[in-house]
Amino acid sequence: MTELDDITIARAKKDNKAFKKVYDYYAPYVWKIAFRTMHGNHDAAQEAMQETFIRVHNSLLKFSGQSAFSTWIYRIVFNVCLTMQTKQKKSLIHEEYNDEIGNAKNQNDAMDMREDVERILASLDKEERFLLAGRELLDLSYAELAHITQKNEGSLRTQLSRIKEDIRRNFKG
Amino acid sequence: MEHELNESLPPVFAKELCNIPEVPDHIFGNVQRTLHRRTMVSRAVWLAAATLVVSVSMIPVMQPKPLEVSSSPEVIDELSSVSTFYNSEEHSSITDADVESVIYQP
Repeated sequence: MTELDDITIARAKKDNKAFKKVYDYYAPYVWKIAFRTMHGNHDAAQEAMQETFIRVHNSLLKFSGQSAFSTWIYRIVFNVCLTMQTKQKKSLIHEEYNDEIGNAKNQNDAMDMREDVERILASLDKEERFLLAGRELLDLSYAELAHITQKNEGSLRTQLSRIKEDIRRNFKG
Repeated sequence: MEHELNESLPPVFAKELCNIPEVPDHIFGNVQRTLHRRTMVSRAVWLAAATLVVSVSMIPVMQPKPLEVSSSPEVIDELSSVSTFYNSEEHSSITDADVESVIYQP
């Protein structure tokens, strides 16, 4: 992904407008990965995102530029999500966005399919969901994921391959 | 593109995975409020700590110093001779006339 300019990032610690720019730019990506990692739990995802940007603000001066700024943020999201206690385990995904479904049959089919997806995602742990979301939603490279999770790139490939294989096997959709 | 064919997810699953609600509007406001609150708490803690340090360091300065009496050997001799005089018989034998003769001596 293209990054926000360095000047804005450098100013973000002291300048609220610059911090808002950083937030506006990266929030959609952070939200996607937090939402999926927290298994569609809206409250937990919001809490994770909030804590992520607080840590981003507090640690901006520590950003050395050794990795892309987005990678640095994703590493914070990863740590926040993994350490966060999930207060509400049940996914709220069905209640949040259910408006595109038309007639009752389609609605039932869609609900069944969503439940199937939810069931499979629920069988994964947070780290696995993070990897899946990072790869599928944000199109992160294995190198980036390895940097974020501090894991070996080769073992990540194997892990993701196994996750996807399990999904293909278990998904009835 | 690093995606490989044997890694692809079932399309329906992939589509559902991407089905995510919009970012809630209020999160940035929450972030700002939390940052502001933490800054205030941090400042209050620093202020309290600084006040405590200053107060503790002021205690020795504010305490009254005990009076230091220094006496030279001459003064000590003089005082002891006065003491000796008052305890002596010579002192007890002095009459009022002796005192008046000393006081009213032209």
